[in-house]
Amino acid sequence: MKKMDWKLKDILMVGLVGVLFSFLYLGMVYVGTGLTAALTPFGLGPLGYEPIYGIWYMAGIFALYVIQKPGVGIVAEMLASLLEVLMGNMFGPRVFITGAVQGFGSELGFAVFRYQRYDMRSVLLSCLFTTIFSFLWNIYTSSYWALQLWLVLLMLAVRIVSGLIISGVITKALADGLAKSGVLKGYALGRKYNNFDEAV
Amino acid sequence: MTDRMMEKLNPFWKAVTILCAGLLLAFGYSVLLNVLTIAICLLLMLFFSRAKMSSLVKVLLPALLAAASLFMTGLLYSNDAGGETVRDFSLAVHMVGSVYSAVQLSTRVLAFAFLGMLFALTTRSEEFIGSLMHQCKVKPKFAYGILAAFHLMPHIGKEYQNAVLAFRTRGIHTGKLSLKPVSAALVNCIRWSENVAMAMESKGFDGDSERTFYHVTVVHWYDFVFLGAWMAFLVLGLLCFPW
Amino acid sequence: MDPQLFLSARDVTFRYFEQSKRNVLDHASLEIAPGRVTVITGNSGCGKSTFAAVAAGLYPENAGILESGEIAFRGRPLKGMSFRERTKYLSLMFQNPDLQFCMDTLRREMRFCMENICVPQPEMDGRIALWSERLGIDSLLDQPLHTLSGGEKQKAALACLFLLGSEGVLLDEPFANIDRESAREIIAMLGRANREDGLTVIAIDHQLDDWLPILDEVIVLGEGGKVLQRGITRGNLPQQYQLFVDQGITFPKKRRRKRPEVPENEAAIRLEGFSVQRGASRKRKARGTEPDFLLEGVSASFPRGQITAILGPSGIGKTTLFLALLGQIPYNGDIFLCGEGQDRELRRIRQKDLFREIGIVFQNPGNQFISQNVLEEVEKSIQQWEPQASPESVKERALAQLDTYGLRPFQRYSPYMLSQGQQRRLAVLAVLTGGQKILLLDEPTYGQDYRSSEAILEQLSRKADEEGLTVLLTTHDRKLAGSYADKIYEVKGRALVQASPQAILDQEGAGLYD
Repeated sequence: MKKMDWKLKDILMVGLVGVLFSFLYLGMVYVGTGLTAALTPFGLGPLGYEPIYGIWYMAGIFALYVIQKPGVGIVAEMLASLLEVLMGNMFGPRVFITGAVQGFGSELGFAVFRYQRYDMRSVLLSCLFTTIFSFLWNIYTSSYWALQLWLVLLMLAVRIVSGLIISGVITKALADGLAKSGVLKGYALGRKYNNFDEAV
Repeated sequence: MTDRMMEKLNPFWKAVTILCAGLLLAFGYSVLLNVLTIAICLLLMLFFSRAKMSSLVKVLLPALLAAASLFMTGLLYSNDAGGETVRDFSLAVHMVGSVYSAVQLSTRVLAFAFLGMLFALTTRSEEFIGSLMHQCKVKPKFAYGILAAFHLMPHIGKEYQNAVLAFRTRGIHTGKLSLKPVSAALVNCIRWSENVAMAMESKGFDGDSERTFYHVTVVHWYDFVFLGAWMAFLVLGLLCFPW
Repeated sequence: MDPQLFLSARDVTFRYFEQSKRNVLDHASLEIAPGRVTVITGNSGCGKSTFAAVAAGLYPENAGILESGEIAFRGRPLKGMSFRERTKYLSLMFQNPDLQFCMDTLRREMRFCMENICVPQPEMDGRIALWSERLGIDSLLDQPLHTLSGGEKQKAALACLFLLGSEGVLLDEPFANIDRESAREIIAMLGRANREDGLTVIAIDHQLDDWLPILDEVIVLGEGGKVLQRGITRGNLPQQYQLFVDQGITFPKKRRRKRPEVPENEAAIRLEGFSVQRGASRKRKARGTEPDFLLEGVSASFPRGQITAILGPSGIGKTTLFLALLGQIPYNGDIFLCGEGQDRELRRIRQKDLFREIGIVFQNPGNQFISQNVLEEVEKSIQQWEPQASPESVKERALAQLDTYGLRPFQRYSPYMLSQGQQRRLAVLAVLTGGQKILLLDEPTYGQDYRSSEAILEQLSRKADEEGLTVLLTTHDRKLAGSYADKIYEVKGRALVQASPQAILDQEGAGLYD
């Protein structure tokens, strides 16, 4: 369980993947905006963005699952936050804390297994922790404590489902697909698949 | 346009100030404090920065939506607006309570957004990255790596759209939720990370060793005045308007 | 090691992955003398690009395993040198112009370069002014890099190399994706630096044509990066003709028409008063700003069952034209799809129907693979068009198709594990098996050696003659267009100007061997 020695290309990989995932979010954001607008008259507006919230966690979990070293999730989330800030995120520097909180949650899921297990179980656990940590942070920033408990729990439930599906199942499927196609041979995940040929 | 006060501030310390301001503000329950924060941010952006009104409005729209949604939620489902009690004799008290809650929740998210915009609209990417290296001791490897990824954004977007189009012309249905083009775009990201790293290294980029800088961001006395003023304002505000 | 030698590589053995069965470089050795212009050539897959990356010390830092070998510059071992120290000897230009920069403008990129090598801040502006003036690229300094054409980007990259002041530069297929004009300008700049400052120039290229005026030596590499022949000069080049043919490398000679001269067929697509703007969003028109037209008031026709080539530098609207033909961006004027007695304007055709008539192969073939292995890629394409076909017949046909493209041995490979050239052939093949009657190809021979380019164009010719396929391709390879296209348009200014293929060939053949 060696610590990560970040090479420039690893940083670029995490950065570029972070850019791509933020495009994904922008591509889906109209869903969240639409839902929020539709639900606002019923007082359920804050639920609107919850279904796509899982996209925010993809960068950290992807990096951890692909590189498989401790600390990678936090660094990846911090780098993704920096990109968000450069892109002009509405909340500015606060995004760094959001990133750190999420990254910490993502790490925890794999730390439970001493960074030895990289399968559906650890990925989902990591998503679960990420979701819960990020939600706790939102309770503080958006003062959700002022809301009725059932609503808060409903929001949490939707976010957990989104987290498990998007940042768990989908992220893992994407990473596994990449590994199978051979482009991840430079990383731990890609080295698991060595039963295919290559041409130069 | 020449730089004004907000652009002259050191980007890193500006970020720290705004971050701390946000954290402090999150402890408050006062509508007045939220509104004052919004007003100060607006004044700073209008008169002490070169932030464009058009970009302000563009960022403000989603913030307003968020505020509106939290307002309605606060009105209907805040702890003060219990479904059962509304019908009893203390209805008036609860209504006042829930309206206040609603206003509090919505002004709060707006205040955060305004703080964020005060940073985002007055800070240049390169200077912020530079400041992270000079004031925050972030390694150049990380700083320039992320800057490179950021600058490749248009390229990633273009290739992603090409992938979507290529699949569609092959008769493969790619809805908004399809992962195929995402997968193809990920392949690009991984390939490019190696290519760009090699291009940077072949130009002598070492990542963490010594280098000169064309522009070094420095810290002035007024950076700490800015930090101090914000902290003083919010601490006083929290004490004076606890509710 | 000999300090008189600029570069010496001895017994280099390198492979990309631990489990690889084959070493890309297999006990390869090479020495290069200083102050000379050396062009290294060889067929796709001979390991010449890998050799460049290993020689520059970028591999194994970024990929692969260096099994053995010693590399030295001026007798000083590469091992242990920092990247900054290495730039004293060598800096590089790469194939893909889009992936060479980390900043958003050339001026900032130049500052980045000087910071890397610790140029004192007060000197920086002067050096930028000096080189941008010498290279005549003042106007590029503050434009966003992603808006420059491929040729301009490579000039920008060259400016960075000169700025770094290395003793030598290594260019890895620098012109694979840029127009001829820019390539020649860059070569002239290199030639001047070589004559006046003694710059050592090492170029890796499939095509020697443009290098002929300045080259001192050609080295041909074969399997495993081994030197097959060196000491080739302009004088003795003709004697090496057979070697070039055997290796499938382009020999710099005049080309002949490969297609019979036939009268032009009736149009499959017609443009009338067609205009399209720069940066036109795929969804809506840009507002507010003055329209900046890439193509304006163009009328043209693309004949059915024949090959039309569109020539011109990158970044001036060729790809944009294709996007318009696929209904992806707004345009003014009309695009008519002709046939079945009536011409239909593109806007009136449903997108789904349009895609059953027009197919496209993009520049980056990796964008369109849909499956996990090569065979499946072609099978899926066939199934897409003939859902009733039995799996056995689909497989049989797919294998036959792979055979004609020399891809059969790789049928179980992941498409992404193929070489760039093979990937492109697979992408073309997968789209060709579709039933579309019109095919758009964006730079189909980009990064291909002579043999592969010919194979693709031969296949397209056959499809056009036998099945009436209408082919529209963009390319910067004017010789190829001259040999294979039935009709040629050149993008000039904002217009499409028709040119005769033979005239293009004559023009390109000047100064080359017969």
